[in-house]
Amino acid sequence: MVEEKVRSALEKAREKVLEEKDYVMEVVRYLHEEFDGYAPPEALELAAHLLEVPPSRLYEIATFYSLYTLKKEAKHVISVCASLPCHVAGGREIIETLRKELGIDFGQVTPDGMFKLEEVGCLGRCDTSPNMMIDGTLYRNLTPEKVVAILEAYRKGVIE
Amino acid sequence: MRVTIDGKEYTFDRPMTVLEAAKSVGVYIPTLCYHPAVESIGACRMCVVEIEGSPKLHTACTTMIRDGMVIKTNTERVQRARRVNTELLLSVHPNDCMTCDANGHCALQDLAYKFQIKESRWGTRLRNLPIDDSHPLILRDLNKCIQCQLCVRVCDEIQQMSIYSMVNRGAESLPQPDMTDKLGESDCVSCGACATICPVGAIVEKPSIGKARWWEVKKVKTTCPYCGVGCQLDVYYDPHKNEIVRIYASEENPEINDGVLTCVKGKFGYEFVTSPDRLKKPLIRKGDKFVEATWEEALDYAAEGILRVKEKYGPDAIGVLSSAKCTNEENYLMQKLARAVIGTNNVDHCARLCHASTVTGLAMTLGSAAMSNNLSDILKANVIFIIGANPTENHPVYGARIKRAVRKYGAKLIVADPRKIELAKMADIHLQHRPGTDTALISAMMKVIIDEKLYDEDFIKQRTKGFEELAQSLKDLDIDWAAEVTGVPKDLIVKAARMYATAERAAILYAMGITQHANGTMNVAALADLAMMTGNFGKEGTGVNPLRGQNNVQGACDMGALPNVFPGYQKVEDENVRKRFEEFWGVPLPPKAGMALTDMFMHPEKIKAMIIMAENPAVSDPNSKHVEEFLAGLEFYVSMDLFMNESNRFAHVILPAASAFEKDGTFTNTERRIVRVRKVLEPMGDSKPDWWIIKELSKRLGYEMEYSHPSEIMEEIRKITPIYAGVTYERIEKKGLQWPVKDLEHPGTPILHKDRFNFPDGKGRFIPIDIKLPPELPDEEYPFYLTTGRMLYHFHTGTMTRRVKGINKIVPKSYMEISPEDAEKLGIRDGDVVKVTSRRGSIYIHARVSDRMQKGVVFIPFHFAESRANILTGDILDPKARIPSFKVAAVKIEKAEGVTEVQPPEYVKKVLQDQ
Repeated sequence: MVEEKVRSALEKAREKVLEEKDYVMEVVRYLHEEFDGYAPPEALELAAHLLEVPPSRLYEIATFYSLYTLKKEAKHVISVCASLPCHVAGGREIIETLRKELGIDFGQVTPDGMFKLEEVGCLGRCDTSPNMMIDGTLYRNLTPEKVVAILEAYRKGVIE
Repeated sequence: MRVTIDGKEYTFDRPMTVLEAAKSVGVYIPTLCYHPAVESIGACRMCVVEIEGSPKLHTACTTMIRDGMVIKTNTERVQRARRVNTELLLSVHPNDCMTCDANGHCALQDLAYKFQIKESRWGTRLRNLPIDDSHPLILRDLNKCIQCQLCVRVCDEIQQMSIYSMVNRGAESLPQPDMTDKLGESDCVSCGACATICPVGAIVEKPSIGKARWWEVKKVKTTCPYCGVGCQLDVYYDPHKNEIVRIYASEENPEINDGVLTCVKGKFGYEFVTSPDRLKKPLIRKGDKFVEATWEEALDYAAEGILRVKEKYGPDAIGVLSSAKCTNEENYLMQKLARAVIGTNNVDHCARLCHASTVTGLAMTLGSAAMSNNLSDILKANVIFIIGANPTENHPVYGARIKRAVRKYGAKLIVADPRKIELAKMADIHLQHRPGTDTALISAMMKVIIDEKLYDEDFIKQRTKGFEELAQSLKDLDIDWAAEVTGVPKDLIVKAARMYATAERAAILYAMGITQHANGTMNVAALADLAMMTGNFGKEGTGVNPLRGQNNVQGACDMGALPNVFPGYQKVEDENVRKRFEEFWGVPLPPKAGMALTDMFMHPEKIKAMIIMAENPAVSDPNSKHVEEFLAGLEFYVSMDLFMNESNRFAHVILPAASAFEKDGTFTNTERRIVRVRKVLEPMGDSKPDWWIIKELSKRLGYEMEYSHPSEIMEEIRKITPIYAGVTYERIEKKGLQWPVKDLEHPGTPILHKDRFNFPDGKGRFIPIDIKLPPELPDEEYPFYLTTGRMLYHFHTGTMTRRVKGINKIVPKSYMEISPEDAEKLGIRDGDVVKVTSRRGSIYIHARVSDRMQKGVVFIPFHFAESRANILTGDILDPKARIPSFKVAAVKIEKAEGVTEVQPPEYVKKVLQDQ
């Protein structure tokens, strides 16, 4: 089961890769996808073994990027941008709303295990700031009202 | 290049960094993340300097000097930047220097003191991380980490294990082993380089904690007493307690151990020195018991016993076993004792068991029985062909360098080994041949090279003799047959042959997988043939390079602790040579070569007394039961040793010897480099250096030896040994010298056979091939190949490493590696006890199911007295080298019903229990 997913991630990453050294980067990304939002250590280890690279290479990538996680801690991971362009475009209010609505701070998980809140540096879409991302889906031009509605949609299972 | 540093102008003749330049002229620039052994990354910003014409500050460790550069290392702006950086580090650093093991040896503490920072202006916010206590030898407290990444880099660049990476990001990023953040759960090989290089107290040596403060210790540089690499060590010891506190690699000798690297044995394997088991008084056997005696009594008793046997049976009834563990000076005296004092050439040592075939095989072909190249130039090789050697375990520091040659410098790697050893996993080609089929494999490669005309015609013509005869001997060799016999697919043999032959520079490395066979000499000669036909001699990154096993096995051979040669491989049976020695030593000498130790043990009717220095043949020699019977049957047996062991329990007198950390002398490492051994501690109890013991014994045997220090012995050695003629203690003080060192001006010889081979006509000799398979092969009754060898954590018969607590926590007991297929077939699970039986005897041992093994082959390391591999091995000898066939025996394996545990010896249990 783990092995199937790892092999599939390696294959998908292989198609994407332009340079050999990017390969491990892409592998971590696809592992994250294969395991539905996290990259378990045993998968990283197996991937390293198959790639014949030290496991530490994958471990450092998986822990470096805040979009990646080694444990499934919540059903959905909310990554909200806290850098300047989002901040001046109303991002501060977005973060406030998230904190209030979820009742948690950065790095924490809601008691029902539904959401984890993560602070990220930039999502690369400053033109549509303020932005946040939930499980890889980008939400743009946010307002506090939009945030409340989006969270509600996830809670009700309208968005999976 | 003219460069101004702090107002003074200097000239530099080569490119270097600002930091190196400043250092070389005595200008101090503080650093945290810099170490000469690894690449600089400019991470800590502590070495910043001002450079005229540039607006920003530059890191001295990554900025190269330029002509006309004006550097200011000490301006107010520089000081301010350094101070702020120090304060930032201190803002997360616990202020607990009082109990920190780095106190007095801490780069951060030094800076805080220099800037007189009592507390960071931003206050202190500790990381509150748990301490990583998972590794038996290394403790990590990342609350103290300054994120310099030296541990990450040394593990990656030098040790080539890449256990650590910087995990998480930004201010939180810290060096962690993969996946669990626990070092004890990683693939760490316990080399301890991370603890050596850590500039603060974040990674420390666990056995050293609480032993002594840094200002209480003194430092002595010496040579590691374990393998033949001969790592240069800085030993820190407490002179009041007379004990070693910790060991670092010396920064002075990067050509040997990279200025930073040790293996687990070199770094942590010193506790045996102060073990309570050390023999502290001479012992004389009285009935079944040993009784303590004075030195006078014991030496008189030993001399009387030897004289008694000599009178009764003649000098040739006495055998002298010298030792590759002892110094050159001691080996020289030991063979002198045998030849000049007792009057026999029956002197030998454990090289008989490891590289005797190297001595014969290389002398026959190249004229010099040693590594042709050196440890550093492997980084220049384009192709490395390793056969029958497992350097990452048995020569670990060199093994790491081989990995660097492959990973960093792009050398292609061919590994021929019956086991899937670590290097095989990273090899371009792994030839997983059956044990004992080496000649067939090498010959098939030569056959391909000849058939495809890939040989070096010019080299063969100008530098060698006998190629036609060699080609003739290979004419009828069928490569398909070789493929079948070796079990290696034909296309792989062909590929390997082409890869080796077409490389511009190809190096052969080998060890006991080649030598420990009944046809060991042929194996070695075949490798020399292969290298000669492809012209792989005389250049960097080429050659035929035996990796010698023990610390001074090269030196013990050089010193003539062999039955057929005097020091410097001068033949005993050559009359002119003998005359010279007779004059030099002032006594007549026996004209006939003596017996090899393997022969001595097989002839109890001839050998009636033995003097054995620092050897444990009952565990290390083949067919142990027979060896025990031999030792027990001796009329007189003098032992010189650190401990009681499985052999000297049969002795009549045991003379307690000082260890390598308790005496002066020299070792010669595997690259022929003569290096200093220095006294660190006072000898334990009444123990004495072996050279002193031999000298005293000699006196009592009627031959005065007068030396007050080993340097005087070296003076004598160099006068009679042409290859050591230019060796003096002054000359080898820092770097050592590689023999031949022809006179006092000669700079030594990093590469042998540059223009000529060591024969009168200068030409190398091809030796025709004669393929012989091992004398004992698996059959119906004994269906498995047994191959024996060594492993990373233990050494030889275990008497030293099995007295080191942390090492025993990692590897407490013996084991046998077996393939998963065979294990399944026999119903054996990992950890089960099995009974292994050969025609010589049986042992019980724990099974380790391992995919390193091929089907039908099992491996047992020979370090463990409770599961003695050598009870199983046979004593069939190579006809020339008299080396036994350790690498191939036939065994049967049964599950040992009802036995769940093989108990280690009592002393090992005690080590594990002691706090």
